[in-house]
Amino acid sequence: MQESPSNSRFAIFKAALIIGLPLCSLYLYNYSNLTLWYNDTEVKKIDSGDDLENMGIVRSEVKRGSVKADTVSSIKTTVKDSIPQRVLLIGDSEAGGLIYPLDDYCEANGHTLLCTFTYESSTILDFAKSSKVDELIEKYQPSMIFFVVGLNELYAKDLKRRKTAALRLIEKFKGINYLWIGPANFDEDFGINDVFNSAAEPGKFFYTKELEIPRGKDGRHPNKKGYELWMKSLANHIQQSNLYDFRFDPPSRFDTRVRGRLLRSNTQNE
Amino acid sequence: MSGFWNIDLELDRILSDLPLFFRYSLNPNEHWVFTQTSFLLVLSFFLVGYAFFKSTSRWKLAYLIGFSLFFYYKSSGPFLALFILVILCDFLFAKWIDRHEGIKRKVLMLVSVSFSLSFLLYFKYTDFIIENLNAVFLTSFSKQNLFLPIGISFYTFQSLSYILDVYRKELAPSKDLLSYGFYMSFFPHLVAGPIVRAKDFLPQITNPIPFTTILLRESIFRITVGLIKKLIIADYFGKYVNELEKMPEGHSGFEHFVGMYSQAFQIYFDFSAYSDIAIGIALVLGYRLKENFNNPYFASNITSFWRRWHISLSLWLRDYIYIPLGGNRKGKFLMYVFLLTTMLIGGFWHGPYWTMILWGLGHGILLALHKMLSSKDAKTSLWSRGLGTLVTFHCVTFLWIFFNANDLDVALLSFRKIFLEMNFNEFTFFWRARPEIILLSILAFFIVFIPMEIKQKVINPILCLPLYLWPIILLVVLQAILQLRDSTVVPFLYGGF
Repeated sequence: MQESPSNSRFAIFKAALIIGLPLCSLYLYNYSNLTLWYNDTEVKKIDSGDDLENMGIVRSEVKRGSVKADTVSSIKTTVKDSIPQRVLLIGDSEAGGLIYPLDDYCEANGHTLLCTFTYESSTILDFAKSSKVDELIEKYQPSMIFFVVGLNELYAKDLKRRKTAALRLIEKFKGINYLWIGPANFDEDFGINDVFNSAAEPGKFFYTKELEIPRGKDGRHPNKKGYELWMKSLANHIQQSNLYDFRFDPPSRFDTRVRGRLLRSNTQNE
Repeated sequence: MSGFWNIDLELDRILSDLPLFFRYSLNPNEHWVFTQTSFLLVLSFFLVGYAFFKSTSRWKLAYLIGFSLFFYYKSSGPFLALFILVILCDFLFAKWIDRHEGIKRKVLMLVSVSFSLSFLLYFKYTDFIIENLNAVFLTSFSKQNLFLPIGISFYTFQSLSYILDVYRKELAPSKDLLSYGFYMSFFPHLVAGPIVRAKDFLPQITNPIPFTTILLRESIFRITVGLIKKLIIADYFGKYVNELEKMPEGHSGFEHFVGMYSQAFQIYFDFSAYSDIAIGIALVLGYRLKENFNNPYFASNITSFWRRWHISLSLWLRDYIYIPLGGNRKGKFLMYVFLLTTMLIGGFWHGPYWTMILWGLGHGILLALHKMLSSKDAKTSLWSRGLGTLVTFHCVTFLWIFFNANDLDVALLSFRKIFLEMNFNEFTFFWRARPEIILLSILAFFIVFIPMEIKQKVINPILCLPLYLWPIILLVVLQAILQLRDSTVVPFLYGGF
């Protein structure tokens, strides 16, 4: 049966309501102060729209991809008495790519990459609540921690919650030297880099977003060459900073061996 | 760095000075996709306005074009100007071609086709050409790292089909710019197809489908199913696939074996989800886009697979490359050559990588082999069809490894791991570590291999649910997606082609 034009219009209006009503409810909940719980699970919001300025965090001047990573030449050490470091690498999926060049740097400078823990699809919230970080620190007694996170929360707007989580994580690093590595942004973030920078001790956060790094085909992660160039920039940062009193000269070559222990987990498993 | 990219950065700088709300609503870096809640919310408001226009009103077309261009701006920022330029040039060239005959007509067609193709070649293939020139001739041209405008591969093919149809006198050129602009910019198919032909779509402008309650149910159902397929199923497989891609050497043969199936399901659920949502939204607006998928993994041979997978692309390649080359009219040997050529071009269209070329070549070889070995009179039993489905699915799945791999080394490593280092005893460990991937794979197998008739029996009662239940269903689905997703929305795979 052919419907009249008015019925047709009414049906479009109904379609608008069917799509719009649930979305309006989700946005209303999003911008309300209410947080609902179902059993012990928080009913998530689309985003909470925390603003950096309101949190007293200064927005950085760092421009995404403004420094070509392959133009950075390696800086040789000036440190005379380098103490061999016991290194731990912790992070999200990007830690999985940094393992290989980091391991090569460690081997070339007499340090030991004891263990790498990659927590796939994770965010700072996952790390803050996971007991795995405490267990690893307890077990390996590292003297230096490389920590990389942020790729899965570039668009996160609940920045207050993430700042609290970042501070909680830093508590776990107490007494241990660390370098907090920001994500290799494939897109502009909503302030997560600045949140991490404000949580870390001065000089211990590295803005990776500044680097232009060659990407893999997925467009989100660096490719093999990209990870090596990224590591080179991290090593330069360490060499230039007086916070890290150890040698970190470039290795003669990069390979794909990993000498330390490799632990993998996924947020979806938990 | 390209000039266009600089414009983008400049725009970025200006926008970053605006208040947060406006930055969010205009930020060209935040690409709009169908699965974003902000897009769906704006769509519902847009529909309220749309309901007030008469179905054949010119104002309605203008309103829809305006929204489509805004949608494209939200996807590609300043590249909107390029898109508008292509639309204007096609419109004018088609009129000129129609007015001329003989050699002039041919020259105009060639100029128009070259013009449309030049942008695709420049943005998509420049770095590939430079890289290979450097490798072969030991030159040192630096790569351009150009931004690929969203949907350029799709709208270029649409533009070519329009010009070629007008040239072949199969289609009269569009009389007014509004209609042609509407055909090209119609936002449901703009970013990742289906590739719509002007001769199928332009007649609908003057005769849109009356939007009935039955169509309303169908459209909302398609949108909801698309959201579930993309954001729950495809993205979940995608997480595992990405993990494998980042550290291929660090994973075992069994993990690669599971990864191979995960890739196959991810690509299918991701792309068919886009088509589902596109068809659903187009229906609400009163236009029917052709189906792009028809249970493809259920195909019992590779020819049938390509009649069921990305149907609009398969038909495009057939009508504008394979048949004009000669098709099956010039003998068997040349037919095989034409098949290989067509699939090579199809592979290269998907991406400027050698792995994509190999993927296309692989499909070309399989198609040629199938043509060579199959006989028209052969009767097929249920068993042989079942075996054919299993073999076809696995051939396609093996070839997805090339499609998905970052480079040839990674693809070969995956093959080595699967064929030489595979140990089924690892299943127990894998099950303990990632039960959800196994369970999701089993679910995906069921969805993919259930015949269409059975699926229809499940769908029909859902389509009869009272309308007032649909907002609740959509709310539950959206909240479930929010509970399960990461902060990042993974873009549609075909949106990057």
